[in-house]
Amino acid sequence: MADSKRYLHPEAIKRISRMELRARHIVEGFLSGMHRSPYFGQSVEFRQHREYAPGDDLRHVDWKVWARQDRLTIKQYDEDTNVRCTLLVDASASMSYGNGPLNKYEYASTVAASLAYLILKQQDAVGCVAFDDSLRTKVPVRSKRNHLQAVIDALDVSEPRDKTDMYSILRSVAETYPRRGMVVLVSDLLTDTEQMLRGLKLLRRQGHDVLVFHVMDDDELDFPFTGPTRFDGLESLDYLNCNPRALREGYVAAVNEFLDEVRRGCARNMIDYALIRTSEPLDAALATYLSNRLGMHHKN
Amino acid sequence: MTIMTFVHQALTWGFLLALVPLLIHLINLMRRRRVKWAAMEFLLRSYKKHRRWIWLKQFLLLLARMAAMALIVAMLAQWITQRQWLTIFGATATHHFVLLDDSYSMSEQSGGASAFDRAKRAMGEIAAQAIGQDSQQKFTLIRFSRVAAVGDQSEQDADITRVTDFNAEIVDSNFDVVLEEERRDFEVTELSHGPREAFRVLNELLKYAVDENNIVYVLSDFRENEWESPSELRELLREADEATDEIHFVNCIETQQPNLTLAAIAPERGTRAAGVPLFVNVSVRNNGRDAVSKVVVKIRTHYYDPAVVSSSDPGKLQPKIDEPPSILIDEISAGETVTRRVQVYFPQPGPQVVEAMLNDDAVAADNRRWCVVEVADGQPVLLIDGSLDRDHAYFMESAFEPGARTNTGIRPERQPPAFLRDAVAESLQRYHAIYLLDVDRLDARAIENLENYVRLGGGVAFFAGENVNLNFYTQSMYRDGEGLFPLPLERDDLLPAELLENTPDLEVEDHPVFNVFLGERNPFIRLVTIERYLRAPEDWMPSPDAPVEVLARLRNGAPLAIERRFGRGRVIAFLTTLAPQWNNWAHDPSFVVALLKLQAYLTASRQHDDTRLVGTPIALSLSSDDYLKDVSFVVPGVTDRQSLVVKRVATQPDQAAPALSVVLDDASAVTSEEGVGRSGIYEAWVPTRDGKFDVRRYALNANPSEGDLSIATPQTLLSRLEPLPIKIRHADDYAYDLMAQAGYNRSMLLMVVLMLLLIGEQLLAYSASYHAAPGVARG
Repeated sequence: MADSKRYLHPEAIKRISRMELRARHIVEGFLSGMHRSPYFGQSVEFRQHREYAPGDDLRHVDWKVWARQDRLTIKQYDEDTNVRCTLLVDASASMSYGNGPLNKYEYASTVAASLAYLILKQQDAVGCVAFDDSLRTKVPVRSKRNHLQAVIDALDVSEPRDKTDMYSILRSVAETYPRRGMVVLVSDLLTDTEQMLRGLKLLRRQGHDVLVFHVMDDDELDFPFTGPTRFDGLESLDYLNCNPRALREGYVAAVNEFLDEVRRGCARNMIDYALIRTSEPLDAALATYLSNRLGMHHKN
Repeated sequence: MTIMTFVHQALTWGFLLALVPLLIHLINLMRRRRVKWAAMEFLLRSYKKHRRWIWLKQFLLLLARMAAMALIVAMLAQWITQRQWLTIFGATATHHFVLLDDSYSMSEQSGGASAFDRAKRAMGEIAAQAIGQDSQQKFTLIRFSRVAAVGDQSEQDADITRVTDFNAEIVDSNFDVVLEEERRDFEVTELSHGPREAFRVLNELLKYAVDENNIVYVLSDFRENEWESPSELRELLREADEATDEIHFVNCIETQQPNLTLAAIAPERGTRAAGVPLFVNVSVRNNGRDAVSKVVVKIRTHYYDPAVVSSSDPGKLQPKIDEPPSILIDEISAGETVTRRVQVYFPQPGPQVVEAMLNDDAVAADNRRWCVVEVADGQPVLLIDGSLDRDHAYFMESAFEPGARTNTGIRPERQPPAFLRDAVAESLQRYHAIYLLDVDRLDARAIENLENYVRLGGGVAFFAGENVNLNFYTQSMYRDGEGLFPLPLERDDLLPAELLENTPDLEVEDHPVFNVFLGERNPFIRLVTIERYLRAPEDWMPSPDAPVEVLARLRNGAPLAIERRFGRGRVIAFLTTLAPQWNNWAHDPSFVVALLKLQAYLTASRQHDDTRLVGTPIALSLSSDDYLKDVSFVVPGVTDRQSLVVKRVATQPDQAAPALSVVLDDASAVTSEEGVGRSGIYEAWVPTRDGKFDVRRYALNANPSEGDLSIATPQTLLSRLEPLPIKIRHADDYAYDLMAQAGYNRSMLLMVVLMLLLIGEQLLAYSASYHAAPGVARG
């Protein structure tokens, strides 16, 4: 059995657990409390009190406690929900690159496991798909607490390999998970951009709420190499002998062009997009994203 | 069109270093790190877009780095070019004029080599570099010693070619061998010649070196005493500068070394006779910058036994050597000359030698000095006593020949006044002095003989007496200052006795005859009393410009001893008697001392101490009646026992006259071993017609002024020679730059190009993104 701490990073989970996953759109599923889901939950069971923290919704303040004890306390509930979240983790060869403590795939797996933990803790259902040019592992959507281990196991066996074929994967996901829900894609998106956006668009058209975590290594964004270097392609037989400093300017421009194209494509299709560097702290990246998502939810 | 050559040809192998950047590039290709890369698409896109520019920049960068290496090597190897196109228009050759200072100060030792050694090395470098040139090269060598010997004759073409070791010699591939053979024989001389004559010869030679690139090198030590007031040298150099492209002063010394010089050695005045002690003065000069203490001067005397000489052969006879105690000088301050006297003794008559020696120091030539003393068997002096009882002569003979055990060397010979009349010049010349004691008058013939004797250097002393005819002395011998007698005489007079007896009767001046009595050194003369004397007219006073001097006066101011210089000789008149008739002097202990001093002084003008310098020819004039023509000269060798015998045949210019003439040595051979270029004792063995030898000895000494090793600094030289464009370098580092100066050195141009190239390389490297931004680069 895989070591769950490897992906959960308890310290990060501790902080993320104080946040709430809010769906941006009204997708199918049930979201009690703040979820404006068209499918409300059947019951709300009080679970515990906790101290008010800035940013908490005032509707959840227990005023009776305040009247008696003169302190602000938040009531928390165990809610049943119908949010179905599918985590799509890119396991292609390009994800094996990484210069930091974690390569891109390890980073992406950690993000996926953290999200799964969070989702399951909220009584929502989560599934997971690891893919390259095909679906390599597939974990059905479940809301059981012990389902987390199944997700982690699926991520653990998915060693990076082969070339990404994003459109076929997304189309396959759309066919496999016809019920509307949330789809979280964690990938470096190093594939045919047009095909990738076409696939995401397909998911959106099916009513999925799509989130894209674009995982990139610092090296891929900054290209800090010096000295004569031979670059061997991870997903192809291409190689290049060059002086990296001479190519850096053109490379960075090409990368920025690619990022702009992805950002524009996601915005056009109302897909949430976040670029995450593998050097950034995992919790900070998730918290920032979830905060932004909550803000967008409130705007809605 | 230019031809590229390098001063240091061996360094041209360094151009292979230009391949180093290429090598580094290839090594870097082999050491290329491999990276598994995901975002190949963007990398390839960038590569395709910039490929051509990148290739071009990298190629240019490589070329720039290779060129920079090549330029550095070219600078180190001293790239020069010869303007070959000049040959088309007639400027065909580069002519190197090397002026080599071989005076003895160039023998100064420092750092294991002499200045002359450095000069020879520098000369060899000049020749070696000239051989390496593609254009035609000529080489002329002028040694100071050779041209100085010729002197003004250098204006004649024949002499010019004779005094140069090389004259416009074409430099071919074998020239270094030829020069080396000549150079091996070059030795620093003991001569002392400045550069003046060399510059004169140079200017003569430059007249024939038209349409050539003339470069002058002066290889010297540039002593202060030669360049102190170089107005004449500057003028000569200015003339040379008009015909030359460059003038280089090659300084061949490191720093000024301390040096002691034997400045002089000369016998004192006195009787120079066999068996009579003689004082010799030795002067030592400290030419260093610091005081020197405990200076030891070793003294030696060399003499021959005349009986042995007549039966010996030239060069076979070794002189007997005696070593008196050395002189110890406690301290000699910087720049000071200290004179000490030493007593020497020659048991035999003849031309004897006194030698002084210092310990070894920076310059050897000035550490030995010789003088030749003509030691007579005795000094005959003539006594003419006019008194009837010959009392005066008695006292004089008593002073000069006091007894058998005391030898003054003076041989008094008593003659009547008529002897002077009947004598011929030669017979009088044998007397070292003539004393006229109370002589009443002389014949005109005698006066003439006496005057001729004095004119030729003889010494005469008059003493007054009862018989002296005042009018005759005044009219015939004084003759209003024209005759040899120093003053007119008017009458005889008495000197009143001094009642208090505090004032001595005799007041002497500071003169060699009387200075021994000055002060308290000898109080006896204060006891001399003068009762009667002859006096001059009251109004007589020696005029300031007249060669007359009062040596002693009476207490009343009347002159008592008067000297007159007449011709080359001296006359001293004492206006009182020699015998104790008008005074008591003959009974006083000072009497003998004063007479011996008088004798020494009178004979001094006959004693011509030979002070020859090295290089001075030794010329003998002989009579064929007495001598044969085959004269042998014994010249000093490298060591004292390696003397050389040089045979010369005397010439007889006028067959009718008996005069023979022989010279050692003419100018051309001055620097040869058989010449007079070495200090020491030279002997002329002249065979007499009776089968014996007449040996004459000559001391040739190094010029002591050359021992002053003070240096004229380059700054001083340049300021004194302004505005002449003189280039001054040291011999050691000059060799590396000679050809850089001779050709057209491109070092500065290369430096500028290199700087520009390096700046361009940096810009190119920056442009090619080889300068990483801070914090981004990862190797």
